[in-house]
Amino acid sequence: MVKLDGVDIRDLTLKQLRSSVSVVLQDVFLFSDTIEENIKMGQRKTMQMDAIKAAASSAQASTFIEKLDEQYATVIGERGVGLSGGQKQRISIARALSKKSPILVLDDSTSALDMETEHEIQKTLNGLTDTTKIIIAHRISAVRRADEIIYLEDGKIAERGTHEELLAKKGLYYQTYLAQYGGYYGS
Amino acid sequence: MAVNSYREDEFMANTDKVKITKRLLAYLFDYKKEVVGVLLSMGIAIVISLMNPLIIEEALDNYVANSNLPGLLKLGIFALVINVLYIILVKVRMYIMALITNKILLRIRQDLYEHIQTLSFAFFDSRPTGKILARIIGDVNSLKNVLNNFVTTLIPELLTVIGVVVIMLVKDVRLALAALSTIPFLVVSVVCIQRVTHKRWQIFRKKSSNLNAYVHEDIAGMSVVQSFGAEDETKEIFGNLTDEHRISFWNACRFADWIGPVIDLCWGLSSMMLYLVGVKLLGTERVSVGSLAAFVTYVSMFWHPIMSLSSFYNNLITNLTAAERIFDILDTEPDIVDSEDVEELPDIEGSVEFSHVSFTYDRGTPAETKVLEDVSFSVKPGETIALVGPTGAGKTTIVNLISRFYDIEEGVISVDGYDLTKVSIQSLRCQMGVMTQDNFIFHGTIRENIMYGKLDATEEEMITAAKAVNAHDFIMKMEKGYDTELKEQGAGLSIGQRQLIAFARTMISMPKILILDEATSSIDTHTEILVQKGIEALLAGRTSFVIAHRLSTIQNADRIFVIDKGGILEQGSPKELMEKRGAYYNLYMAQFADVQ
Repeated sequence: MVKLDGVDIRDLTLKQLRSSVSVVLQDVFLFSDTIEENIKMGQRKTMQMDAIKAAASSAQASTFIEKLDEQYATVIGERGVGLSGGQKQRISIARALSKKSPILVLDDSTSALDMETEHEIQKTLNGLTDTTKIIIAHRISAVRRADEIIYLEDGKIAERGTHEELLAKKGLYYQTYLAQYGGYYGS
Repeated sequence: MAVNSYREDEFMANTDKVKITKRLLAYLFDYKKEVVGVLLSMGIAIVISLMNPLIIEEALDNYVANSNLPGLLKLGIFALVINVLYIILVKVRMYIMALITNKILLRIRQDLYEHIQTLSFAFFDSRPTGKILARIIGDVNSLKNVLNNFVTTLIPELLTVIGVVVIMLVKDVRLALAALSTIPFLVVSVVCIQRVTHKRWQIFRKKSSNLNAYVHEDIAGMSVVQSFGAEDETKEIFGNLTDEHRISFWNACRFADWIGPVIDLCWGLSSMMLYLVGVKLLGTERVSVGSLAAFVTYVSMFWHPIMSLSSFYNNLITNLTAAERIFDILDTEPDIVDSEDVEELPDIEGSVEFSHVSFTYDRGTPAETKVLEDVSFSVKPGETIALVGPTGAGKTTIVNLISRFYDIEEGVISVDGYDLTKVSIQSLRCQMGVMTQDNFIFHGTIRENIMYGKLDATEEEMITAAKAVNAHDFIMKMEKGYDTELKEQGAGLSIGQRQLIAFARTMISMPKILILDEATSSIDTHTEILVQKGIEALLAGRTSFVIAHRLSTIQNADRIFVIDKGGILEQGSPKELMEKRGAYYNLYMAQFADVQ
């Protein structure tokens, strides 16, 4: 059973459920429309430009958007053609952030971003103390600061705990950590 | 980049209707024999139809007037026979024409599809897929009637009209002129109407295209629409587009529909003129009842084809816009073409050299963006080069240029000393393997998807490739193994699994130069390590370019290029760059900032 605030999600209407959760999918899909319209998705009539810019800024996207000739009115191609992988991911994150839902799901959403940008986005996410964040990632750096890390394998929870607790366990998480950071120059 | 979306009508340059029509007709030339056969049978049919009024005239004036029943019967049987022949000829004509038309449509669709495959990225990047589909499917379908009617309507009806006019003039000039008195008015009206309707049909097609594009994309992105609860918004946009579509159709149709009433009016008026003149003459000079009756029949024989010709003309104008759109694509020159004196690139070792290369996207348009400025580097065969740097810096651009997906404006890119622009694109690309973040899985089995990389690969080669990238295990765990059907865009598999299949697809072709553009960013670390071990074995001695952000991916590179601000900031081995304490060192340390 999946519960939200103690309520079985099957007892909620789809609209209630979907308005409570913002998702950044692994497979970024952007529409051939302006950047503004893409970020506003789902709230086209109500969202103001300030909110859009704020979301873009949190997603570390405002710098590159403002460099474009038409800025937020730039039309991007179908499936986000015309933007690099990282830029697409950032707009996708902005789209989710602008919704300001209580639950935010980020499914491998920073895989195409360089470490610095990912770091900045994480700082912003850490600042969203009223939002429940569920982060799916392969990089340790993306999950390091989580309140709880759940390591899944074959559909089951293999390990759970904080970063420090899991490292101490010297289990699967620890192996992944070593694979990503162990044996490197200076580590 | 200048991009067309569902909101904007596509731009079409002004077209010469006569040229387009001639071009369309040219397709009929391949079927000269059949067309002549059809025309011949139609000729006979026309002669028969022209004879019918004469038979009526004969019957009334000679047989009925003289109460010659046996003679009338004989005439009746003759009329029956020739009209049965007429029906047979019409059926034969319809069958042959249907055959020819369908073959021509097939040919046009094939030509269009083949041509589209030669077009460069810039063509596809600049418009939604739905708009391209609209042309291949919808617009080609629209040509069906036009082609059919060219032979079955235009020529015979034109001949009928000419035949009728000649006979009328020969029989009685005054009656003929009375019957044709409204022609000038008809011509002027039709020309005016068609000028307006042609433009309106063009608009209709553009609106259809917009609608098509929107629906196509909306359905593809349905998971996003639903997760953001944007169904009401998309419904509204869809409603607006269908409204525009409907209104444009209505505007075109209702104006085109004026042609019918105009013809009816002319027909009525000319019949009236005929009776007026005929009755006045009847009695005063020798215009027999039979003759007048024959003329009345000729008048309807004249106006029927006119009606049919105008409906054909209407149809032509409506569907000419479809032909315009098809030829618009056929006339689009591919950006990247083999020049005339290309040679085939022989089997390469894999050295790559960039010499003072500069590149700008969308050159010459307002959306111009300079991405690379005076970039030079040299890669030895078998070297693994890692490209790192901020997103949008130009890493993907560099690897796209190696495959010659775009042409540079300055400098030279060469592979094994061969300038890329001087070798055939086919011979270059078949030796490259490209793996990107967005891999595209086709609808088909896993086997078919992997073998797409080398169509004549054996089962062993496929399994070797799958094993090398560690895809074999998860594939064998599936119920049908390699025969598992994959849905479009690989739905049903995780992104990591899709990547591995795409990897196997690239590996099977044993490329000399491998490009991995963030190809492992969506795979978990554990699998990535397995994949990399396999790739290392296959790549031993082969050149590769790897774009990635993860240390684990780039740590085994021979050299690292840090790309930023349109050029290479630093290059060197991982050790050298760390000692330099420059841009790479900073990027590297940022990865640890959080973890230590």
